[in-house]
Amino acid sequence: MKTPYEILEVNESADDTAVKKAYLGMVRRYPPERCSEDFQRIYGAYERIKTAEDRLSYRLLHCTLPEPADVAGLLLQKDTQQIPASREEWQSILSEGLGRFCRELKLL
Amino acid sequence: MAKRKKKKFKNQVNKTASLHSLSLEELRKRGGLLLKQEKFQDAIACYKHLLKLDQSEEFFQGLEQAYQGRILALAAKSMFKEASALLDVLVQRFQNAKVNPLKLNLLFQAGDYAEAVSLYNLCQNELPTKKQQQLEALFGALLLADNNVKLENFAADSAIARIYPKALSAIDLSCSNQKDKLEEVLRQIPIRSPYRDLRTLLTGLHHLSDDKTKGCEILRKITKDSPYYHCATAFLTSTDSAKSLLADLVATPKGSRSKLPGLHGLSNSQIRVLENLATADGKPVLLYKIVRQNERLFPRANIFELYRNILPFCGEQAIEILARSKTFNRSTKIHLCALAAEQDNMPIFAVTYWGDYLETINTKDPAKHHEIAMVMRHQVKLMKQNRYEHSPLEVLDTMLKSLEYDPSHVHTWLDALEYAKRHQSKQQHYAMIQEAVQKLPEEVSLLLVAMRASSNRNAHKKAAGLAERVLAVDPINTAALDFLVASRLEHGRKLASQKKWALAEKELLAADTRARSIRYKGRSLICLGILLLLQNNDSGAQHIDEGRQENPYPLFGHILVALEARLYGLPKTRQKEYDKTLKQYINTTKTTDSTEFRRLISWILGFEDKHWPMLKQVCQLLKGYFSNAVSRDFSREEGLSICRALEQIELPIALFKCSASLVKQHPHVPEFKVWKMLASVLKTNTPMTFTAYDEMEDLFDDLVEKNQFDFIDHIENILEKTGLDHDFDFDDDEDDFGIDFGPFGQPKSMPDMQEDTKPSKPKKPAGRQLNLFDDDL
Repeated sequence: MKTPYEILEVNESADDTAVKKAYLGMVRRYPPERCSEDFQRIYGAYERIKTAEDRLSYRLLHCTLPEPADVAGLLLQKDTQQIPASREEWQSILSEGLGRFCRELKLL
Repeated sequence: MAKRKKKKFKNQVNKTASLHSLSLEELRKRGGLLLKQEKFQDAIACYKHLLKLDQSEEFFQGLEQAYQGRILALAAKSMFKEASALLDVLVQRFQNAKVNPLKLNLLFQAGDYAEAVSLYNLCQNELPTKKQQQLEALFGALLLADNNVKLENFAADSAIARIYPKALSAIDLSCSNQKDKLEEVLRQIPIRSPYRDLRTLLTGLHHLSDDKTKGCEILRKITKDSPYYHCATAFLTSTDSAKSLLADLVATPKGSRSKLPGLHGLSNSQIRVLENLATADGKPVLLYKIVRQNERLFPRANIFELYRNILPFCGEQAIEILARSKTFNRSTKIHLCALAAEQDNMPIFAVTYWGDYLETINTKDPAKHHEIAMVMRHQVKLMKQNRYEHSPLEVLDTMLKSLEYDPSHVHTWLDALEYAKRHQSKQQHYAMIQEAVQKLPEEVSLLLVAMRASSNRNAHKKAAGLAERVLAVDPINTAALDFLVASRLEHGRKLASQKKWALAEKELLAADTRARSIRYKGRSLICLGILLLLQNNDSGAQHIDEGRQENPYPLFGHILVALEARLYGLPKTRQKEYDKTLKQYINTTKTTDSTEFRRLISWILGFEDKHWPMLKQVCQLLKGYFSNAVSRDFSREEGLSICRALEQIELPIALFKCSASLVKQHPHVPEFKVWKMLASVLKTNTPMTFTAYDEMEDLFDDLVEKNQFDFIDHIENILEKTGLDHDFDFDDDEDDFGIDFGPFGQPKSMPDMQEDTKPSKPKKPAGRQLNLFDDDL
């Protein structure tokens, strides 16, 4: 269960221009002809927080009951790996995975 | 401890004793089965026993396999000392045993990678090619991970050493997000190299940001026997997988759940939460409890958002939870209570809570004005849902208060003006229009309201001025253009009635030809023709014909002629002549154009001016036309418009026919049943029977549930206007207006409401049960 801000990857204090810019950026990343499902999600998020009034309305009046899978997603999100930004980070992720792999290794 | 050891020993004795009772063949089968089941300890005992009976090569092999399995199982449990001891036993027992691969395996399991490299260099030929490839990929990965493996340990011409720089460079390029260069470097890593899966991993990740589906698809190509498998699965974890994981948890028996691949790497508490979520069945209170009890397992940033979204769905329990909660401040608690009341379908309490919420906001802070206005507008929306509790004036008052904080909200102005028109004096309504236009002087919709209001007050000049202002902002505004044409035509009629023929003609010629609406197409020509006929100039008839033909819809042309003939006061003989032409047209044209019919209906519904009685007279000539047209299929909205129009032009037979047909088409729409009942009353012009009243009341109950208050008002007004409603006496005990105050009870934070602690049931309407919405209720 991601908020429209999380979907569009914008700050909650973003203004109309920033929201629009983020939306267009997302559309470029997930064009409707290739990723229709993602695009629907992005478009829905944009419609929710397009204007200052929309954002205020979202903050004040909106609530959606999360599905158990959404809650589970947040639980797993803690373990979800972000794409590493440095070689050291890579090495640490790789080491962790290799440790597990070697413990389960069966050569015979 | 001693007891446990004793028990274990006893079990072993029992097992050995049970082996004695089995035949050789049974023991052989059992040995195979135990190996298959990875019960290596039992397998060792079984094969030892078998070898006592028969020193067959098959049993030696079985025992060796059992030892190897047991060694690896011990190593997997990090019991490396025990595993090494057993390895020594194996070496002693089987001189020819290939122990190097086993040792290698142990070294990997123990994390002694440097030693593993040395041993691999010595014994790689003892391993099958596939295993060699797997280990080379593993060494490559260990090298990249800088995990106690040195490049010098590998021959310079080996694939591991040769391609290593490229693989490392690919990782660096991925970190710096240089996609083009990364693609180029990845292309240089051969598909058959030990770094093949790194290539797949980086390609998948590279796609993940642009095309998630494709990215995931690529990452899933990395199989379980790849050293990059765990790394790939870490990137794959997402909400989608959470959904399937919960489904898997439900479908898998408790004992086998630990083997689910999605649970890999999760802690026991995380698995427990997932199991609880899988059985939560979306119950909000249960979800709340799961999150509350396991807060630390969730990302901190999402906790508040989770509560904020779950609590409004917890009904009455939300109030209890919030009362105890220390997580939220007072303002947020009231906010959530308001949302909870709304979700629990208790708008009456939601209005109160929103009112309390407003009290927590600093009204003097201009930055908060939009928020205050929005909350008030929301209160208005909720008040409209509960008309028993909130009078129209209270609703109007809240709208006006919201406009004090946000005067730019056009929709609220329009709504407030409509309310004022219906529930306040004309002066108050007009004053409000003035204020609205003053606050938003360029807002077309408000200027149009002001224009129509001025026209209704016979302030035509002012109305025309307002129309010009609309056109200055919106040059193609149909309503303003039509209005200017209508006012010219009206002025022309006035001059004609004063026999100022030349001036009237001038006015008609000046009537703006820019008018878009069908009802003005060819109309000035028709008027000009009538003006000539009034001056006994028969050439007027030709103008009328031309004007009629100018209208794209022939029926409209005929109607306009019949209407203008009346408005200009043509002699009766002439009027009848044109009425006859209209009737002839209807009789000869059997098929009705659906667009024309729809436009006629919307014209009738939008007809606001003082010439309404004349239009009604003309429409009376169209009885046959309407009776034919209404028996088609229409949507709910179209059907409702048609019924309303037919009632307005007083054609009860057509209305009955139409509503009866619509009831058949839309059996679940109570409005059509009401129209049908009303039509049958209007048709016979006799008051409703008690049974019919009772039936209509039931239908009204359905409509109340659907918030169709305006419709009920409309029907009531018709019955009242025609005098076909009836007074019935009901017992005092009978009360259909009881409000279920639901689980919320009386909101505690409302001092005003506390004084009047009993739910204020609306007063019973005096005399007439049907008048559900009297203002004095």
